[in-house]
Amino acid sequence: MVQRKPRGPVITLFVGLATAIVLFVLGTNAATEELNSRNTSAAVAPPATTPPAPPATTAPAAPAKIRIAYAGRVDGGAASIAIALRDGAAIAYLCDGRRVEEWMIGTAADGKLSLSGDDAVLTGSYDKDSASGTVTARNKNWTLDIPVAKKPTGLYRSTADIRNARVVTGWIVLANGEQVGVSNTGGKLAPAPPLRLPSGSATVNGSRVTADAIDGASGAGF
Amino acid sequence: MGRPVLDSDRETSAADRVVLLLVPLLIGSAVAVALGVYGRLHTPTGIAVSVAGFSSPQTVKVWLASGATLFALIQLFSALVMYGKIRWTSAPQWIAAAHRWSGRVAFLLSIPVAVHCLYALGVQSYDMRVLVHSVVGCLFFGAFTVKMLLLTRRGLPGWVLPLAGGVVFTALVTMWLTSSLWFFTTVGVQL
Repeated sequence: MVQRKPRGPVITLFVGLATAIVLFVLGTNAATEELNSRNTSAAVAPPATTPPAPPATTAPAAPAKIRIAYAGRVDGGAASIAIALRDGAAIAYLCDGRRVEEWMIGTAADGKLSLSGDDAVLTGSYDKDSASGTVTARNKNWTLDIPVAKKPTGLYRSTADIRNARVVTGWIVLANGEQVGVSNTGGKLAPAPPLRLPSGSATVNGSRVTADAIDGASGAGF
Repeated sequence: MGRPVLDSDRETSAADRVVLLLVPLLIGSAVAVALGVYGRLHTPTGIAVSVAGFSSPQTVKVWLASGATLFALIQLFSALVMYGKIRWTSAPQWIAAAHRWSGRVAFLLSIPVAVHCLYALGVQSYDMRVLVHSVVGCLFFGAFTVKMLLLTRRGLPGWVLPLAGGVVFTALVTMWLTSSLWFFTTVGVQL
């Protein structure tokens, strides 16, 4: 160790570190500004989105004012499911984050759930703490018993036209923060990109989209 | 800096060699772990500085990463020439400088990408590509730190630098495969 130690590599490391810090600070400022501007613009113009699937036409005559959401994994953990209730109507989304997704719509009345989708049926019950039941999708059965979801846990959905294709993305945000979602481009499924919370934005196929929280409280999606 | 390693430099005891290797390895590991922990624990913002001329922050990253990978290929080539693995009619004088500077450029190009990834997206595990990308990304900067610190050490066994460089190169190429190549093949080649 008599020789002079070369300094070049250490300088390289510190230049990199300094660059990272500068970019990090710039990024922090940009994030703050963008969040502020988004909040103000959201207050002026609500985001225009199309409602999912067909609307519930079989809502009971005197629906109870129940607005609540549930989210969790189905028993066995192979897929996740989220259910949102609003005044007797119900929306559910079953997703494994890869190859399976089913949007279901139906009714929630007298503690009973009854929903169906293109290739899925959900029946069960709900109370103020949890929802449970059975979901059948693509000839597979799962039982579920999932807890009430408190934001940001819950169901999110974005619909966007990207490069002439309708892209519908659903996300289930679980209580541990894990996200399970799929992007559907004309029937072609791909894992959903990360949903950035609380902003609700995501980058789908290179384009920025904003997702609605389908929680029954805001009425988005119903 | 570019001085060849002399035989007299190698006259170090086995214990010295372990220390020589261990300290850079520990620091590099700390870097990788710190990046991973930060990426996992903080809430991703999804927002970062956009660069003019590109359609989205994503395309900026895709091209910066591609640039870094191109310079990494120059790294591999110049290293092979320096170690005599590629016979060039007498390796040119400037090959060592080319190796150093292509490495610096590759590293600097990777920094904005990493800052955006960690800050806006975080370490994620929702599919295999993303998991591999997240883990190898943290490892890359740890491995790069190790490589840089090893360069400041004299008396290392001859296999150390090629191994460290190889790990860094492999990590960077893995990063590119799991991000830019994926982007080019699923979204398309676009600015």
